[in-house]
Amino acid sequence: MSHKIINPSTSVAQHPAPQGYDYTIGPQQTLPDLPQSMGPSSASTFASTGISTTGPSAASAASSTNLASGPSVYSSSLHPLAHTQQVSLAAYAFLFQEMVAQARNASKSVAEIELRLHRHGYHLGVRLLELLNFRSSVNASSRSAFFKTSTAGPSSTSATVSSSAPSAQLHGYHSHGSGDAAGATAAAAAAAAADDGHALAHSISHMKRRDLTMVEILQFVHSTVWTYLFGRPSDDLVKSSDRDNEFMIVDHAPLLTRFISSTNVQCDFFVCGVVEGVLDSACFPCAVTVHSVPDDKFPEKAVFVVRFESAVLEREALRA
Amino acid sequence: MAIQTILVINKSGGLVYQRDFSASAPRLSSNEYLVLAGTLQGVVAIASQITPKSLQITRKTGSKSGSDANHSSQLVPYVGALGSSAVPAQELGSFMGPDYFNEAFTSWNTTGLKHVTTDQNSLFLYQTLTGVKFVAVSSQSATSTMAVSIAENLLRKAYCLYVDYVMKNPFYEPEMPIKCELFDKRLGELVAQL
Repeated sequence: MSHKIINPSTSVAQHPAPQGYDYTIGPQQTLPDLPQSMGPSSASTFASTGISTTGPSAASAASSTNLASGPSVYSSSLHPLAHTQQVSLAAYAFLFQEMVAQARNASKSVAEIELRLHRHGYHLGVRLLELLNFRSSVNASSRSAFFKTSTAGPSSTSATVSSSAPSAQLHGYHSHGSGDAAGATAAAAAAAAADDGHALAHSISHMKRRDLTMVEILQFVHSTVWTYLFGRPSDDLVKSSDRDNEFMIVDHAPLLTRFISSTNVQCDFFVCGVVEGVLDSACFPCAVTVHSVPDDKFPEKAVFVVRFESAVLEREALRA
Repeated sequence: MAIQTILVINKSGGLVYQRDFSASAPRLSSNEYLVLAGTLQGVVAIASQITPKSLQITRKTGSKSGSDANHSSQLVPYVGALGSSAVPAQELGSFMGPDYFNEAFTSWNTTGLKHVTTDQNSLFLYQTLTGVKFVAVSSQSATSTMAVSIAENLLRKAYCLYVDYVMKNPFYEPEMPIKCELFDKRLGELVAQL
């Protein structure tokens, strides 16, 4: 399943020249970044230098139809063309390998390595909660509308942007400061900014509801977070039978530690950190640990144990 | 073709991996294996030295101009169905094909030793671009080109496993003996499928 989603990265066909880092897409390939103006001539230079442009674009088209079968804003990037952007599993593995090696060189004990990995993951988790909730708040129509305006070509929009943007900012600032400044002009300025396609946030009518119960937030981790990170939901979400505050997320074949032979260091502590980061910043303070539970069918099975603090349980009892 | 032993020799001629697959494999001491690895390394180096210079040059220019006659001599045909159908797609490492690779490949071992055959045994050698050598010892005397290409395919798959399970393991020190459980396991599966 995962090999379908994480493929060697291919260049995005007919992508407009990226203008800086776009937080809704993430890092982009910038190498074949040729100005739009030299469209027809650039094609000929490609052909003459022998770089085949048809191969990757055909492959990416095929994979995009493959992935578009079940489009969900939860799992995908917001950009309509972003479905073709994939990460190579090998690159992912090498990056993680280097991270573990670095943690290992800097630490004196096994527990310290795990703590470092955990900390790395924690920072990722804190950001991930924000990002994924933001993405799921954008519905398909506003997304396509937003990206249509932004892909209209640099030459046509740049003139209007340069003329209207400073004034719009100024108006917005004034209305904020004085309070009673003309609301109409502020609204118009906001509308103009939205027309320019500079803030996707303007097209969000309402944010996704916050997850308030333990089960809801764990479902979010189990499905949304896991799909975003590993291309599939985790294999199981289980509640402990003897302790109320304990839940278990089961992964039959953890993607990150797929190539790492089991040693006494548990590299999955990175994922623990991610989960703990998500839960902590969603106001569910907890401790997450991982245990490898190999069985006959899944020799690399790992169980992530989430232990919520008692305050969470008390809050849950009050709500009920 | 019963594979008895697989060895991995690093680029400086040190033995980094050795594993016997059948009980009938000749029992060599670890020191003898080290000597074998060093000897093979030396033979490969000498073999590439004694290849006539003119032959090396014509080969190089031939492959550059892409003439098929020269090219095909270095192309190893893909031998599918090395018992690989039993492996579900997800079990594979980072390679996309159902069988790690599924087309003919160019042999990188153009000037060195490729195989040694005696009446009882044969030894096949696969060299990578970086100078790592994979050696398989088989209990049959195999001289046909088919057997050689099967062995090359097998060793190339072993190389794929090495790339995935050894090089991507943060606890492996390059050029040192390989002690990776997953590599052991996958290599065992690969050889058992033959």
